[in-house]
Amino acid sequence: MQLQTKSLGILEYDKKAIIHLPEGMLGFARLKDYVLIENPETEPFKILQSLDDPYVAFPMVDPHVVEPEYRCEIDSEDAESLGFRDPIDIITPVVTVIPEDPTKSTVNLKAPLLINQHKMIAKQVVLTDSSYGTMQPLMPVPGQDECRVDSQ
Amino acid sequence: MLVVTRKKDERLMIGNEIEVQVLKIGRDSVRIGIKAPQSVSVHRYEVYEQIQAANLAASKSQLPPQGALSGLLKGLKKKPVE
Repeated sequence: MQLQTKSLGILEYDKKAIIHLPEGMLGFARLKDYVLIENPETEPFKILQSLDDPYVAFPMVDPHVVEPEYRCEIDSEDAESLGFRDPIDIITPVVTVIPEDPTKSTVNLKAPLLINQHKMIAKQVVLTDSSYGTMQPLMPVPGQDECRVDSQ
Repeated sequence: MLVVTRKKDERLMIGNEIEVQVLKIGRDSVRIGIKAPQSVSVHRYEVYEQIQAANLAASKSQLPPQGALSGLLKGLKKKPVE
């Protein structure tokens, strides 16, 4: 199948690659079908491209790149609605905002997208009890590394 | 906006499936219980608004040009401490 996209040109995809979000992304409730595009040129980002609106795409990143200890507690209702049996089926990429100055990119660790890779269904959940922010810096804060060196 | 007065323990129905109950009334806050089908997500408004804004901003992201991107990624790759 083919889709003309805004930023990625003509995209070829297999029907099996379609990820269905019954509730859509928050704020994008009408857009329910996506593909997650992996491309060596955009690593470590993946692009979550809407199949309903070629102009809508979200850069996604594995939260462990930013927060190696990242933990995502899924409540039983969410787990059930996504048909999770085995945690191996799940990936939890987070939405990335890449502004004009890419060094100011942020990630939304509070609302990961839970994808059941086996069933190809997904849901953006809110980790209500976590202290993760919705706009945490993607890059280490400048100066922090130097401080660490000083303290050693 | 529909405005309704409810006392403690009284409920509201929204449609046929969503039940809202006033559980506790404090000085500056009320405790509310919500029963809704699994397909309905309930969010605190402020959090919903923040995530909606973050999603909207993300959807406007442009992947930076190749060179800039590899520069950006260097910061993310953990170098072993010497």
